[in-house]
Amino acid sequence: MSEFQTFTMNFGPQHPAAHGVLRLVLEMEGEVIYKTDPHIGLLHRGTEKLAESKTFNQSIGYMDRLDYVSMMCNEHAYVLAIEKLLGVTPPLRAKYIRVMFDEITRILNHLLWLGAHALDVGAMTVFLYCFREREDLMDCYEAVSGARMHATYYRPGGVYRDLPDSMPKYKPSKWHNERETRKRNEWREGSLLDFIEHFSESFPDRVDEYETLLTENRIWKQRTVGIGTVSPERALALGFTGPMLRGSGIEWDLRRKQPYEVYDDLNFEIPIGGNGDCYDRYLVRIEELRQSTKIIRQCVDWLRSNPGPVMLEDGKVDPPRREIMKRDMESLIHHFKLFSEGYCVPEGEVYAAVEAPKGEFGAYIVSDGANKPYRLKLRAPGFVHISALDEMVRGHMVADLVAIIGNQDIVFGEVDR
Amino acid sequence: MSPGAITYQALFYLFAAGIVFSGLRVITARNPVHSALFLVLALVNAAILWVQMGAEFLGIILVLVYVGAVMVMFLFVVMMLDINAATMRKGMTRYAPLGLIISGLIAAEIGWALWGHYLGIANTPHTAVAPAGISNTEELGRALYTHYIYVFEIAAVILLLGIISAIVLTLRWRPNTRRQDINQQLRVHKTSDHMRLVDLRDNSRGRKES
Amino acid sequence: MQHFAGYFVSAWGAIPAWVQYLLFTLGKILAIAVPVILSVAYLTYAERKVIGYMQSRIGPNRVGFRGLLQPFADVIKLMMKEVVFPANANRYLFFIAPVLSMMPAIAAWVVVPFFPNGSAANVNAGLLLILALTSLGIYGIIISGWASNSKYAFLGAMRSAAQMVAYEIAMGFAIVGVLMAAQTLNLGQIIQHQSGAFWHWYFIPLAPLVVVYFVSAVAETNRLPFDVAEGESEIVAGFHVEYSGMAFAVFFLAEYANMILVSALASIMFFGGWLSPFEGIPYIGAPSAGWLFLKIGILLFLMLWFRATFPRYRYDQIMRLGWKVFIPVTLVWIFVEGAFLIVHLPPWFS
Repeated sequence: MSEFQTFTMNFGPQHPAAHGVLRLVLEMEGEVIYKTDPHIGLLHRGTEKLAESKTFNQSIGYMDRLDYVSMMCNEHAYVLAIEKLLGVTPPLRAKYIRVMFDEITRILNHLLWLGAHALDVGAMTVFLYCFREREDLMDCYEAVSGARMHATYYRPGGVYRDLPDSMPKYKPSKWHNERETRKRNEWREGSLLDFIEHFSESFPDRVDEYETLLTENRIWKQRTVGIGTVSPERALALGFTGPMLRGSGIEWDLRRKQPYEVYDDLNFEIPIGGNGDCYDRYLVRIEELRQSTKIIRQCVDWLRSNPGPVMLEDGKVDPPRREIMKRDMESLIHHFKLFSEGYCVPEGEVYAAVEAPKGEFGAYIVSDGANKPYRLKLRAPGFVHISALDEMVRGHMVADLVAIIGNQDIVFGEVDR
Repeated sequence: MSPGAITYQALFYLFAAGIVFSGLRVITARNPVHSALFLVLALVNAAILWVQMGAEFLGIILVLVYVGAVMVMFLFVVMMLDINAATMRKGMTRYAPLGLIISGLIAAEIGWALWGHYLGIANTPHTAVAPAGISNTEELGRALYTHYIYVFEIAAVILLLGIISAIVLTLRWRPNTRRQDINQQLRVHKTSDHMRLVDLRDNSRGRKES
Repeated sequence: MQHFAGYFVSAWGAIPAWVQYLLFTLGKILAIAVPVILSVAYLTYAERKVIGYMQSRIGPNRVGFRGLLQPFADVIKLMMKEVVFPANANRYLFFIAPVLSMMPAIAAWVVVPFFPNGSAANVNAGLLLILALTSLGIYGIIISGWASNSKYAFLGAMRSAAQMVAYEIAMGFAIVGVLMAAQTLNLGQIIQHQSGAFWHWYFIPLAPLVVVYFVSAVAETNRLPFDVAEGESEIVAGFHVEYSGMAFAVFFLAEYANMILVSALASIMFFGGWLSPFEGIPYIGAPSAGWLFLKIGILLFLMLWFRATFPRYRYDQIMRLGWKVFIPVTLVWIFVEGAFLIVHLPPWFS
């Protein structure tokens, strides 16, 4: 009997399922993959190094561009680390706003994950349904920060500004007449909080819609159940976090285990999977969509009844309000110092992590007491997950590889940094 | 001769020439994939000739079975094997005498059969033409399932045996492949085995009610 | 005007009979091929619109009224583009592959009857002819996969060849069922055997075969959920990954022409072709080509609907479905149908 040759195939970096710039060198025997060799670094931008030559606040914008589908969560970890160094706590309202936007970000991320994953497995419509809802959430980002993706909204000591009282509206155009436009603007008549409330009311039904298309679908089950199974022991050993870890049945969530901001005061539950295959991870993430909606609802209620400052009134860390700055000499000096030199932090090293949608996103800062970090190290969940790709894929077929990559929820912005 | 008959003859010679040409190319083409494709062309030409002679069922079946299925598989194997023409030609001189003898024998047999046929052509009764209204599909079916039923069934069983033995011989159990049982996959539902909700709050830290 | 027509008739009479025959045949071919190609163009438009509305968007709406000229805009764009020959590709085969996949998809229409006695060629073994011609379509795919000299294309060609051979068997068995019921391979006669209102059509006694046939037809045309040969997210575009411009467009058109063809076949074999579902009622009960087009349209809509709804099967799961589910189902049902035939089950087999 002659021996069977394996052949090598180059998967990506220009591949529709490569989620950006993943390049894999596959050793295959027919359709079955025996070795996967991920080649990363094609999106390396040197974020950590860049941060060393910029004041602390100037690097916040870089954080958005790491995991570019869960922008504010990245900011959050970085800002938390700086706050830890400075030893300041933001006002309670800012904490609620942050939690609310963290959860909006989680929904944004999971929607993109769901859409892309379904598209990888061939279900095209889910993708467009997900983007319909993402559009609304992007509008929330826009309303609050002016940018639809790279918000740079969180600041050490709070958030950039309070929630706006009005939403941007659609205008009638050649393609949408007066009546249609009025319908599209229905949610946008009130404040941002009203808009978010509308969203959180309708969103669970939308999740049901996605589930109708997928959860009990035979083909979907055939493509995900028992694919890319990771045992709980291996999941821990490989350093998984987030839904990847929870999918394997490990009860771990930083929002509960190391509560930050106001998560301890909010009622929500953590979905935990069983088998550690693609289907369970899918169920976990779907449930996270619902739980996040629940958290958002609680935040909206709290924020509505508790107006107040959203930024520390400490001129050494946060810029003074514009109108005060125009009349007050001290504020003008603060403003000038903050926007030229920035602020200095005490010497030391800190690590702060948040439960980002993809897992534990952490920022480790070493400070020598200057106005910029001596060293910034970011812990990206995707990096850990992709290093387990070989183990998850081995013995599966090419089509499963695509399902697993999609299921891992990898974004190269954070893997390559 | 009428124009219709001329066209008929012209088409016959056209496709007959097609068979001869592609048959020659099968053995002279350097690339084995090209050879296989010329064989397909030869088969298609033969099928057209059959249809032209009124054997439409046979012609179509030739295309359906040989061109549509057998040659596809054949082409595949040829494409996958990556045959090196140089090594194939290595033993040319050594095997040439044997090849010449065999091909000579075949040519002699064919010649003998054709010669005999042509010599006696005058007194062979003309092939029975199927009565009008009965297609030759029906005629063939009738012959196969009545007169030749045993031969037909035995041939079918032998073919089935061939299929099964080919599968058994080439089936390899690859230990490193992860397999899924579809029935088991479909038995999975959204139950607490696959997704359960836990609060996970650390009660020792004193829970604040809100 | 009269003078002109008279001149035309006399000119027609002046040319030899065989040229007349040739021109007449050419005319028939054009009368079928041109509408087929036009409907292929508008099927792509319909697909984009239908799937668009299913996905809460509008689809093409800029070129012409509601985007109705979009197919032409696409064709013009594709014709302007360069056909890139990849390095080390086999130029001749690379070029001929799209033609090979397009040719049978159009040629098979020659035996499709649009109304009573309304087919270009009334072939006795018409059904077999269509099967044989569609089985040739696979050569375009295999050759393109091999000639492109790309591993993705080759994987796609392999998948598609295995898939098409497997589903051809299931499809063939489904057709055997129809053959047993109608006792003929002539498509026109198959329709005539179903005459009567819709409960006379074969889709009721042959229900499992209808399902098998239609699903196999979707698989044969490489449509979702069986589009592993193209497998957008797995092997990029499969066999036509290296094609561009008009060469790509021809593959694309062949896929859609095949879709229309298999839908037409399904409506002829199981849904009574040109027959009206309300036979017996005056006016709307009359058989006409319109009914056939309506039935084809409904089946095509189903295909588009599948595409918008389902995820994609994995290659081995498709093979399992074909070999282990469809073929046994058809075999069993052929025996059941044999029993129907023996007892002369009315109204179909009496």
